[in-house]
Amino acid sequence: MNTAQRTPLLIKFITALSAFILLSCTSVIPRKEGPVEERLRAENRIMKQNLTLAIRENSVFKEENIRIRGENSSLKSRIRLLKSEMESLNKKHAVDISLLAEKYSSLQKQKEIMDRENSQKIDELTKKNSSLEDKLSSEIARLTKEMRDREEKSNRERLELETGFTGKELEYRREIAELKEKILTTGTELESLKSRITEYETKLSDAESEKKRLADMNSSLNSEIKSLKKETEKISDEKPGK
Amino acid sequence: MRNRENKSGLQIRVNPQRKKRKSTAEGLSLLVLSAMLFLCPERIFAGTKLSLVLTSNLQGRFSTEAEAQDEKDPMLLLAGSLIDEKKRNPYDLYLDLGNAFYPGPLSRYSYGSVMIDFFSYFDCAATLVSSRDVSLGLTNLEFLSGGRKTKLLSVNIIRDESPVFSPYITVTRGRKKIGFIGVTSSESLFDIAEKKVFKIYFNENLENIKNTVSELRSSGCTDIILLSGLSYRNNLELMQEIPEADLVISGGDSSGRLFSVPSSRVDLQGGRSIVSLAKNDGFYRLEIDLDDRLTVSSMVFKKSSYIKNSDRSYAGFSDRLALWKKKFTEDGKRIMAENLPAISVTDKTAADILRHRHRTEVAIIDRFSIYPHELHGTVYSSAMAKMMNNDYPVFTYRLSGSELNMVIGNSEGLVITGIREGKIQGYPIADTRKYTVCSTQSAYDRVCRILRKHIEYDNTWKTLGEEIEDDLKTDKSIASESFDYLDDRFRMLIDISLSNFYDRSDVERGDSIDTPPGKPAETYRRWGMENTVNITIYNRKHQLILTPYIYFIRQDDEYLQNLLRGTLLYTYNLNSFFKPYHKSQIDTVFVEYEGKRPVLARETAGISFFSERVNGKFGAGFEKQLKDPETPALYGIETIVDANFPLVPQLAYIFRLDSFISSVEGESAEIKARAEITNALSLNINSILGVSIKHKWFIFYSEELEESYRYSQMLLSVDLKTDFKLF
Repeated sequence: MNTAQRTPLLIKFITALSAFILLSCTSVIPRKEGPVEERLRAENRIMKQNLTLAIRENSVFKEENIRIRGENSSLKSRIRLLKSEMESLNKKHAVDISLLAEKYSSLQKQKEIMDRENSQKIDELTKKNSSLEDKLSSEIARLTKEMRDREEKSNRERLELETGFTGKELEYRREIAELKEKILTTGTELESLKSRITEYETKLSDAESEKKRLADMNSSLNSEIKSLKKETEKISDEKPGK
Repeated sequence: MRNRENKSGLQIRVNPQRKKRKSTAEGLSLLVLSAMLFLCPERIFAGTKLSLVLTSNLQGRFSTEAEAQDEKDPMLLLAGSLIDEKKRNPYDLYLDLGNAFYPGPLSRYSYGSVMIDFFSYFDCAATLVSSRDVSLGLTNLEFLSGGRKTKLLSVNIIRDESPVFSPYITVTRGRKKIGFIGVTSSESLFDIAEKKVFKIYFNENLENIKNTVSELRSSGCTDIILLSGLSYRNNLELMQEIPEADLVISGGDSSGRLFSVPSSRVDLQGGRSIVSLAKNDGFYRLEIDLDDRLTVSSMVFKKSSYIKNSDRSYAGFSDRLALWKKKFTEDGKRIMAENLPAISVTDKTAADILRHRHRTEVAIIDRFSIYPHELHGTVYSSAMAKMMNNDYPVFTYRLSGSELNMVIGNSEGLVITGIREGKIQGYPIADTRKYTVCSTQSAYDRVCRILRKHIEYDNTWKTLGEEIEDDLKTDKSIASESFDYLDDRFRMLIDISLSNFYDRSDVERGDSIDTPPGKPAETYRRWGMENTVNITIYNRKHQLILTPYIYFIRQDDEYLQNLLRGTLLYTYNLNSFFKPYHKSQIDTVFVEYEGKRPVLARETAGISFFSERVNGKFGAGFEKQLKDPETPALYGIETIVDANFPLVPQLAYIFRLDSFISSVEGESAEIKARAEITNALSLNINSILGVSIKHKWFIFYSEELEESYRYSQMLLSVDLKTDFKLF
């Protein structure tokens, strides 16, 4: 096989190889998804998000619903309880009302009787009261007269006593004046005595100072005597020796 | 409200039974009042006020414990404060400005049900749908809002050319009718499933809002209030474009910052205002005068606090909340994993788990996709629920090195793993190379916005949380002390570069006619190819490249080029600049020529060097012709240089040098040198097609013969380049 014959084959081979390389290279690049697949994936993502939201929201609402239902049923049962309580209270109240009505009517009757009795009693008491008032007025008049008499008597006695007391008062006043004069005289004497005492005290102090002087003179004389005695003894002692 | 309207005297109602008892004087005063109402209503209605209570960014912040929840649960504290406010100082309307449903674990668990209950129980008239709310799924929100007194508002979330949610609500206050329109932020990211199934989209066209305003005006609305999740800049634009809007109340996605400065209120010319709700641990009370022109008279923030109350709505909601908490706790007892060593799970851990599970080189997720959490021992599903802050599915896709670099440059708010010091698996990011990336949908959306293009992706249809759950149940890679092993994984790349041409010229001529100038004299057929396939197997430390190469040009029976080369190159990835290598290369003819197929083998080892634009190899080895004819081995030095200099974005200059200087075995001073220099200009038409003009110059010099062989060639070719990452 000569060169000229091989050339077309070689060209084909090279061309095929180039095409193969290009195709193989493009085929290894990640193939893009088609628009339908992309759209499906997009829808899937949206639906997934919507579903998650719906599930989560539903779950919360469900729980809230359960809680509200629970609260509702407990409120209902409480309403039932309150209703039955109300009914029983209504019944009790009805009985109580009838009892109270009866009691009221009986009390009404009692009141009427008591009213009657009261009016009778009031009449009686009114009469008693008027008789007592008469009695009391006569007694008051008597006592008033008695009090007036006693008052007059006491006035007279007081006048007499006042006269007596006035005389005595004059006598006592004179005695007081005399006593006051005596006190004054005694005071004067007392003062003269005091001055004499002062004079005597001065004399006494002079005498005491004289006494002291004399005592001092005495002691000096005594000491002189003693010294003289000593001299005397000394002289006497010297004489035998001579 | 009706009662308050009565108190304020805006509606006059006369009881017929009492009418008879009214004196003649009272009758006369009524007559006078009616006459005044007819003649000068403005004076009579002067002083009409509207009291709003507003919340924003509540984020479903329910606690998960039912114990002492009245005193501890932030949302119950808010509820108590709202009830107290209503008792002490009644208000007309309660509105929420969005981001109320996400990411509180209990709200997420209930898919927003518990939050919508909160709004219903506490008489919230409407809540704006904001970006984080849609994380729960629009269909869920739509389902939850059905039959509730709290309306979900959004004028610009569209399905089948009509809004998914109520675009507005109206409130009548005496003679005034006020319309509240909900404007959702374009930050909103719809779940990919909903996008695909319902064709939901976000209408950013202002005409949509303008039409709604016109509709409200025609239905008798005297005042328009926009509830907006937009930024201040967009709100200002909104006010500029819609002069009928009297007030913008901004919350939800709005940061409440004007040029980075926190601003709670901005007043515009004409008495119109923009108010922003920045705080979320309480509620705002907004007093509005509805006189000739709607004006905000005051805005006060009131922080939530525990206030004991015996409100029936509060008790009812508290009971339901306790039930949700009970269900959450019960479901949270599901065991995900046992005997797990103590680990700290962060955004980075989650991103590395994605790399592990999807064998991607890079993972990108949003910051705060995971609330940092300590796991150890038995892991329950409740821990997962509390940890996760991202419920979007995970995508895998491919980005070029330049795109990756652009993402890295705008990575605020993103967590990127797999890239260390500008390298992926130990190799610098190559602008033209494609890299496999794994992201959550939200991060993918952010990447698309950074790159301003749609990127083809594969949807795993699993969320980040589901990926971590699966990992906990199977591989437990989450417990790895380090994810460095991911860089030790072997990957395979195939780079194909095809450059082919075919030229056939048929000449028919008489025997005596001359060939016109510049035209061929004879019929000929010329075809050729320069095809290269690089099959690379590599990991962080090792790289093996098998390269079949054909360079073949034939004209009729004459071979102009006839080279078939196979190269096996091993490189040890020592560091960024120098890497040892070993290369085995076999050169032969593509087509036997004159019955011979000479085979030349070259074995070299040396060191490769790398820089940003220039790579090279410098090694030593031998070259030996194995057959046709067999010659002695030539020992020598190999030098290879490969440089690429981009001139303009699509045009690059390429330089290649391949030389081998050798001497014959056993003899000395007889040098043989072989060198090929290629200069090329390459213009990329698109990512796989390019046009290049090449000049090749080859020299072979033999000192023994003191002769040389030179060959040069100019080529203009159309190049087809593509690459595949197999794993």
